[in-house]
Amino acid sequence: MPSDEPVYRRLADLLRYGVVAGLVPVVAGLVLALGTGRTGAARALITAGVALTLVLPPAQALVAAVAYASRGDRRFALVATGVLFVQLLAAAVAWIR
Amino acid sequence: MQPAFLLWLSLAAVAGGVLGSFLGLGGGIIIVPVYTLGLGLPVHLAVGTSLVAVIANASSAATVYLRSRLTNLRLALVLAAVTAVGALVGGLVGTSLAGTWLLAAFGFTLIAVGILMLVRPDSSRAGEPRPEQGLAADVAERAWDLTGHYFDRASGAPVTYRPRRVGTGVGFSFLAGILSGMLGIGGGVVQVPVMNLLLGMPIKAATATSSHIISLTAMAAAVVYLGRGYVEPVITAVTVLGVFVGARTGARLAQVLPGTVIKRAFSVVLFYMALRMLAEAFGLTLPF
Repeated sequence: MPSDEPVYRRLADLLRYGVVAGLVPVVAGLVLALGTGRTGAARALITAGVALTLVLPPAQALVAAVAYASRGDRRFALVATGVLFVQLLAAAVAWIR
Repeated sequence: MQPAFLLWLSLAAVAGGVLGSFLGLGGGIIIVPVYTLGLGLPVHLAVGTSLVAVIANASSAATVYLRSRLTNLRLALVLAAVTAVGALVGGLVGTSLAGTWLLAAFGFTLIAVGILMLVRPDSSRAGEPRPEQGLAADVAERAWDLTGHYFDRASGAPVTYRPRRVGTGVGFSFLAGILSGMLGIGGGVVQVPVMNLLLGMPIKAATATSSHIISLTAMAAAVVYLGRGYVEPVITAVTVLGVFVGARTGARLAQVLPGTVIKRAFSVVLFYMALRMLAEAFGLTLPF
């Protein structure tokens, strides 16, 4: 079995940039809300940050699935796809109900 | 939103981050009671807000753990598949329950966690298994190759372990997912002791793997709360940032303060919050 090193690296990079990408609009929105009182634009920015934060887990599962599949590890590619499926199912359930 | 309210909100979020990280419980277990009892927010809103903060914080921690290779990624994926199902179920149950029932469920959970902290204050930090422990895995566990390796900086030696009783761990993960999704707590309260004590994983690997599982699974419940309108943008922003800052301070404090004594003392605070939540749920008035 080859080392999982590349999978670890890809996921760590994704999470690092993903967390920052989610936090920046949240901070900007908060500054806007407290500094200028422009609540409409602030709420839109914060909502975008929250959405990015919520997209991060499925992105993680997708990257893991692709990384394992590209290494020929079908078992763990399938497990990661299973995680992605449940995450998408949750989003669908939340959308429908 | 009043400035005074925002100030109290940010103080509560930072305090939740500090205590949650220091005690190894995650911010949600502090934030939800403080937001509902102290700030008067509806419990569903507190849970939804907490879940978003939990994802941001666990993702940040998971980055560090992945880089240090403390995370057992394969085991995290296996357990996450089940935990995510539990979190979805927990989210659906939590959003369907009346606020009073959710408060009661949280109150009973706080009592259980308080007892665990009183009886086994080191359950989230101690209990390193012997190096050979966990290497006697059954055929199925060998076939899945869940063996973990990392370099332990504290001892200056490489550590290799193979989780055992993974099937039982899967069952507990489902339970952790339900609790996490229903109550807005990370689920590490269940996952870390189970991985350490039951699966025979070193505590550092258990903590790292639990963080990774949470970063993958809390979303399944958070979207349900978001879909029902239980995630308010400004409150969420303050909470995410407060917990983010507080968790880093808590992690530093954990390295210098006597954790066991403080954990035992803080279990009293948990019992008090539990009683307040149960009283609120059942319409009782406490004399204190």
